[in-house]
Amino acid sequence: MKKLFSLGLILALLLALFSGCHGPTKRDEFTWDSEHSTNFQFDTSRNFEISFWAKNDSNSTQIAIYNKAISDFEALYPNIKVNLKSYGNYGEIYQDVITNLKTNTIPNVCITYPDHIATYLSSNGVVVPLDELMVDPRYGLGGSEVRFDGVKKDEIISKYLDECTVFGKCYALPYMRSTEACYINKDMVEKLGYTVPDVLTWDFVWEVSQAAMAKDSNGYFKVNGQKTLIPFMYKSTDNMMIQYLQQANAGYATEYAKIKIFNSATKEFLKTISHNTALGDFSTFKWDGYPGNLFNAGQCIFAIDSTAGATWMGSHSPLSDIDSSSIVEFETLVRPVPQVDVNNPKMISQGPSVCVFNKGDDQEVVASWLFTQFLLTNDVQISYAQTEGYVPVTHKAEKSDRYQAYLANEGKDNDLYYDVKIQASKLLINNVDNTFVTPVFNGSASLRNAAGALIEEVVKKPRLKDQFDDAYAQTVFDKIMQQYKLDQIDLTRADLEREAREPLPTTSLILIIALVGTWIVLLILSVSHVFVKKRQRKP
Amino acid sequence: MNYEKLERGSRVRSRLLKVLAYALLIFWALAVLFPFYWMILTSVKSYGAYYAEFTPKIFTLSPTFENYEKIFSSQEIDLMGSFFNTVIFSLLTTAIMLVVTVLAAFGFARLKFKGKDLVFTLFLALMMIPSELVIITNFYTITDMELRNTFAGLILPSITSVFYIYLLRENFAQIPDQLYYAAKVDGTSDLKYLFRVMIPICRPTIVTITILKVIECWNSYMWPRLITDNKDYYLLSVSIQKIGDTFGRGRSDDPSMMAAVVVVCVPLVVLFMVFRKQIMSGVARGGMKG
Repeated sequence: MKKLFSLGLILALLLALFSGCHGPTKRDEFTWDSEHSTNFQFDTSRNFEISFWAKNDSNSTQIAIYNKAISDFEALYPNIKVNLKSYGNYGEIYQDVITNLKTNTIPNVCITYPDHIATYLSSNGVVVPLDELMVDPRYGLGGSEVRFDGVKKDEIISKYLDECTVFGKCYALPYMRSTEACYINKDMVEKLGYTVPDVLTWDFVWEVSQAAMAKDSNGYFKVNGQKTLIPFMYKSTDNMMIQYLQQANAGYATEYAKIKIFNSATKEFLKTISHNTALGDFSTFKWDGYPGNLFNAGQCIFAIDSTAGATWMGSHSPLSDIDSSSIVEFETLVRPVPQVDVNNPKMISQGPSVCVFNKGDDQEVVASWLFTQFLLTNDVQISYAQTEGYVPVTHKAEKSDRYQAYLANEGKDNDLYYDVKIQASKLLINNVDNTFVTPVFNGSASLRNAAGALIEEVVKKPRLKDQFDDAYAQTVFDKIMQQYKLDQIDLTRADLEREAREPLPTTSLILIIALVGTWIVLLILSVSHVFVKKRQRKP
Repeated sequence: MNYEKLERGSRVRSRLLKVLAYALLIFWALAVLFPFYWMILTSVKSYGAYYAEFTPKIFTLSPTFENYEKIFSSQEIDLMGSFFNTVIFSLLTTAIMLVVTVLAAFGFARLKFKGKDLVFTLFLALMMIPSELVIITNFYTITDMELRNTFAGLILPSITSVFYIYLLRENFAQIPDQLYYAAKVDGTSDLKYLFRVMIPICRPTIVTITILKVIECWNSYMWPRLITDNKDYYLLSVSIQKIGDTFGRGRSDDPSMMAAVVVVCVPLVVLFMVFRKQIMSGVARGGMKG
């Protein structure tokens, strides 16, 4: 009897051990139908505490803007308390949300990217779809029950709002937008005998970069008189590849997650990059640090970085990372990223959006939604956009007197009105129609990383053009395909949902059976060992 | 004559071997010490000077202590608070772990109860499960118990170590049974026997476990990073990472981070200097048993 009891206890312990695994959080999707719309009343007598996870660039002004937005909002809604949690980068927010999805300790409101939302959506019902909420006459955008001068749906720049659509539904509101810009050392370009055009081509940038590599007899670069020069530097290689493929009308991915990135245009572009890296006129952030640092030190001619990073670019940049003694005096020009076709420029649209999480309480969702709307009010939008080269996402803020006066004061000082920063903002404002985004699906973040990794791979081991053959290109393709498991994300949403309903794959089943089998064998051996010992002890 | 020649040749060979051995040792010592030198060097470079170097320099002509001032005067990161949190966490975890380990090892080594060997085998089987795997279930459990951002949440998952129980049980098992029976004849209780006889005899192993656990707690990062997001409960390892993120205006402030690492290393180096002998013998003992 005692043996049976011990055996049962051990089995129970083992079962408890295996049952430690939690399944993903699944809950009913938040719905806001006409019945809800009519009957719902936000409970102002109840106190809410909502968490807001946001990224700031360790910029105290940005944190101050968030804190002011929160206190202004709390003054309007005294029953809602907003707790801000600041992060240094978007990746960290993404990781933390994923970690907390399973334990339902996710935030209520979160700064995010559509790629990230696609992953969050694998836990059904976690992210609130906003389509119905946005148009609700009472609690929707600019609704009658909203206690502030909120933005209406048609006042949000439609291109930016469309970017928040994932799997056919709008899961976020845009918060800030930026693109990439090419920051140019005009003095050095002219010293080399070139004139900077309004729209750069890739060929022009490669040509000037190669021309800049000439050295004097002492080994100093003629163009800057220094020992160090990387004429062309790119911060985000993901964007470099994505933008080139879009400009060249070459494949990247379809909205149904069909991977098209491994094509002949990619191969040619990689060959050019590899060749120029081998010549020493190109490098990336991963290998040689922030382009802005070299740019400000007069060691780079074309530095491509986000327009949001404009505050770090140029001789008089307010946020330069390097010692003032290392900064060189020159004129900075801001241009769109290099193009394949100057008459049809294309540039990526990027920047944070904001989503609302469903924690199973409609009242809490509405409280969170009200705060989300508040982030699109003019004061928050304009104040935040001014901290870096971001632009507001609403026509209302963009056309406001305050923002227009800000743009008009370009170059008035080297702080709030820093000319390079305002030029970067204007670059996006004037090119909204030329921006694009990549398709979003579960795995699109991996594909994005893979696009950059292709470039990093050829920069790591650069080869001159004549050594860069098809076989080598295929090796690079295969390596990145494997590394980022791209063959596993070539699935449609329907495929993924079907896969989720299907039984476990055979290999997983075999593995689990083998594990359980091993434990059972161990158990049998141990028990039989006890029995044998007992029998041996008997006279 | 030949004999002298042979002797000289042998002396030369021996000297050459010595020189080679020392050269290798010096090279190895430099390789080991270089990261520490780099850490100290970076900590005395200013943020601007550090980022202005395209090729990192292995010396600086204008050292500065501004990074040290920055880390101790920051409003966002309370380094001293984290220091005390780490001390409390390390001491409490180690103390509780010692009680659990000593009692469990005593039970497995000395007491007789049904299924002892089976339970001990299961305990050992737990060593096969990587700690990274257990972190996931611990995270769910601690979150369900609403113990995030508490010392209890930080400490609880670390208070049991199967390896240390095994190590101590082996030590306890080596104590002759006659001692136990003699103590029993004298009317000594099990606990009294444990504290008066077993613990004093196995003191070196217990000291080893204590030192290793303190070091493990002091260096722990993954669990504290996962379970705390309130700066009042940050441990030093988490604070250091936050310093890199927070001070750098959106970019990692490596010099400040390195200054913090230097500060964190000091107590460990002092601890090592004081308990050098115990640590060396303890690590060797732990290695032998493991």
